[in-house]
Amino acid sequence: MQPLETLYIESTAKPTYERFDSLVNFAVQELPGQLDMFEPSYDSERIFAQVGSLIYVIDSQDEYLYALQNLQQIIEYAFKINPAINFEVLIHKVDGLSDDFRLDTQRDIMQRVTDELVDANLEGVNIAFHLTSIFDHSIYEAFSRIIQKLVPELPVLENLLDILCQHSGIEKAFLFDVNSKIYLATDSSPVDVETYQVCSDFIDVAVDLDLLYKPSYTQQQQQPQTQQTPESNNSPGLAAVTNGSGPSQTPEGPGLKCTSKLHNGMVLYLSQMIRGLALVGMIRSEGVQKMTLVDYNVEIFRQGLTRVYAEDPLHPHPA
Amino acid sequence: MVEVLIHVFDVESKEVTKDIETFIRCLRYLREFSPDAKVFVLLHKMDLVRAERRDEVFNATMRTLRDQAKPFEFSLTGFATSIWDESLYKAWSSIVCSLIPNMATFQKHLESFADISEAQEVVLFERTTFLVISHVSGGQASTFVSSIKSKTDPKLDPKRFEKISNIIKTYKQSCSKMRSQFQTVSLHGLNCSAYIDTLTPNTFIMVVMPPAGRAPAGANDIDGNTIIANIRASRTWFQTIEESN
Repeated sequence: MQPLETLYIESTAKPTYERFDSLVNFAVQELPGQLDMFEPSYDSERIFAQVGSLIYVIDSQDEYLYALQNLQQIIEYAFKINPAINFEVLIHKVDGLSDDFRLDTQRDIMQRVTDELVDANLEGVNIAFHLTSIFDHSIYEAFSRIIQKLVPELPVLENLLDILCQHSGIEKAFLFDVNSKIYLATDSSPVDVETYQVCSDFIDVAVDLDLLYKPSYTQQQQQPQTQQTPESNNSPGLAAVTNGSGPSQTPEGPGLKCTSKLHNGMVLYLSQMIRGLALVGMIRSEGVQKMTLVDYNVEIFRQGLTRVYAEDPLHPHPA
Repeated sequence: MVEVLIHVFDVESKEVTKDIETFIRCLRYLREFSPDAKVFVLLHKMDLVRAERRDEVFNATMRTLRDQAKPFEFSLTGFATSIWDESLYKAWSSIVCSLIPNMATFQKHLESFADISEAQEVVLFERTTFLVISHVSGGQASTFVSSIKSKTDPKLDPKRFEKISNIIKTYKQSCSKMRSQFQTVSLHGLNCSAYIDTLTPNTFIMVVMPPAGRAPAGANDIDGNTIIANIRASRTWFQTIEESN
């Protein structure tokens, strides 16, 4: 599902729970806004004790003072139970605001929240703000950053990507989760929204084209829209992609590999990694000969990833 | 001179007789001034008709139109279209196809190209619209129009050409965000290996190879570079055909 299509979703009426299996296994619980968190019957204490991140969505086109007050209460309460919690505030629907006003709103919200926290004598609260909209890729970007905070291996991954980029002439590299289009890590150069969008669209191109030549098309015939759903894990095609990283695959290496040359001399590079991850990068092409070097280095990177995660006791991986 | 008349009918129209009247008047003038024109009829907004009744509605309407158009001796080609699926791509592909002269020569050479490359499928696209002009599947050539009737590989999605058009168009759009266009795409997937490259100034070619595991024995050593070299080598030849029009 594309962010835009969420327009047609009904609003959530009761708490929902969804699991994601990827490099990091995580679960998302959605608590609808009309629910009173502090009702005694509701077991918020248990929930807050378990979670790593708390995401609070504010409608930026609405009067948000009440929302901020509510947020304040939640932060105070949750922080007491679990001080390690990451608070993530999504300032949503910013598409309706002009560029200047957008930043003003963000500054205003940040100011109010931090003031309140100071007043409440809470120190060391991890809180971050993200501007999001369903009309572009910002929601992916925000969720990427949120998830990244929960990946304990992040420094290792970033370091690996940095080394890879340095030695292969890759300008920008992302480690994507193919299902959700969230990037779990990127090298240390600044992220440009356009680069991210092109890279994430490129995943669609590669996966969709490959799926068209899957021998039995009947399974996926039900989905006329070829775009992948960020939330769904049950699409048969994607299952195939994830399986590709499994041990049953041919030993010669990654399943899916896709490159595309652009007129401005850039090369988009996609290579499937372990567990439904894909490395997507942008290379300034100086010659086709170098591609072999990139392939080789990416393969080394893949082995590195496998070794990092082979140690992970929570997620045993046969490789 | 009119080469092609594309008449779009609203399938849900309230004034069917008036629509047909307009259409007939068009045909009358066409007969007079451009007797060689090809006539295409799109029955649009097909999504509003219930799925099981679509064929029936389409056939009935086409029958009426053909009866009405009989005195003008045009052969009508009809398509049921909707903006909610790939049917428009299909219709436009056929229309574009009908405008290309010496299609047969193209077809023949595409066929031998597929044969030499041992490709599973070769698809030819128009450059700007990325509509499918022609394709060769499993050594059997067919223009876009005839392929609809003859069933190709039953295991593959019959709508795949329209879907490819769609995918590549989306990709083109996303490339334009970087103020650039793509030149080539090469994919090594679990189900196929595919290469997309420019063939002539007006066309793109896509060569689909079976995945390494399923390829017939002895074909495993064909790698991407061979295909790219093949495309490069055939480029001048196809260009000559195109220019000879």
